[in-house]
Amino acid sequence: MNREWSYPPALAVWFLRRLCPKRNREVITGDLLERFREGRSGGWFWRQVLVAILVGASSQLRLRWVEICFAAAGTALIWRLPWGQIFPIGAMITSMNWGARLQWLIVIETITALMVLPFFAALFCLWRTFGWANLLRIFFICAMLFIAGDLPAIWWNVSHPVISRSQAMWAIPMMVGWIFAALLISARIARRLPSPPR
Amino acid sequence: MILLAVIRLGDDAYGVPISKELLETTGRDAALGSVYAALDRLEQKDLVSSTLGDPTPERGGRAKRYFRVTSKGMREAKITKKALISLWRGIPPMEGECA
Repeated sequence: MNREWSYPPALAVWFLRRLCPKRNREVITGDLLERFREGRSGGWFWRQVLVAILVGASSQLRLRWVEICFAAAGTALIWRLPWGQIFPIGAMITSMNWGARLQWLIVIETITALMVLPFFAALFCLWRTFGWANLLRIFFICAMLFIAGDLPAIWWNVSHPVISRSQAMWAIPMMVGWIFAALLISARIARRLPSPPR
Repeated sequence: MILLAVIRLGDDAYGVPISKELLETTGRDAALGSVYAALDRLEQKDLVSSTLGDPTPERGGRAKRYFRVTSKGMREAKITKKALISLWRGIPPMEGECA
């Protein structure tokens, strides 16, 4: 069968172009397309895409293990803190107006970002890029990400003042996931920050 | 094995011929993702170097990434060959094999 003008599974190509690491994305897509047009099946193409994504993810894990461990440890620390005792806002927040809620949110997330700041300082020392300007930058980025992640929760809390068990089943993993993502994004940005001039 | 495939292919060493070479010589259909992961590791160790070729229409306008063995890679391949030969020398003939 002449497959010169045939096209591979569109969904597989979509996954490949979004989930394969950037470095090899274009060349792997080109190579797979070339082999597919030589007569390989759609199933073969899917297998190749899955392997490329998994291998890419594992190599990213190897390259970024410091950031991933940092984000996991930071998430565990933030999640385990007795927030209810530190800020007894659980009972108060539903009676607040939007402005007051936002102020509380900014205060809490700024303190959370301050708490993880020593860990960012340790990361900068590890990468030999420590500088007060870098630390300040990452503090703002981290606080902004925390606040951005909390905004939907505050908005959702207006219509759902009491969280049921089934709602907590997906709301809690989402919150934990966002803390992890915020720390991971911050750590990745921190890694790219230049060394301060000596 | 991938380093040897790159040496064998010379100027035409990019993902597709490398995986075909592995299939022909070892009988294993290595996934292109794994081939590139191994090539990336070899490049990090300065055993191979890579350059991007021109985009071609049969690849949907995507470029090829050509690999070449560096002098360090060639040296390492020779050392490994020597080590393998001396290791094989100490092994008695296996079943179904001529002495």
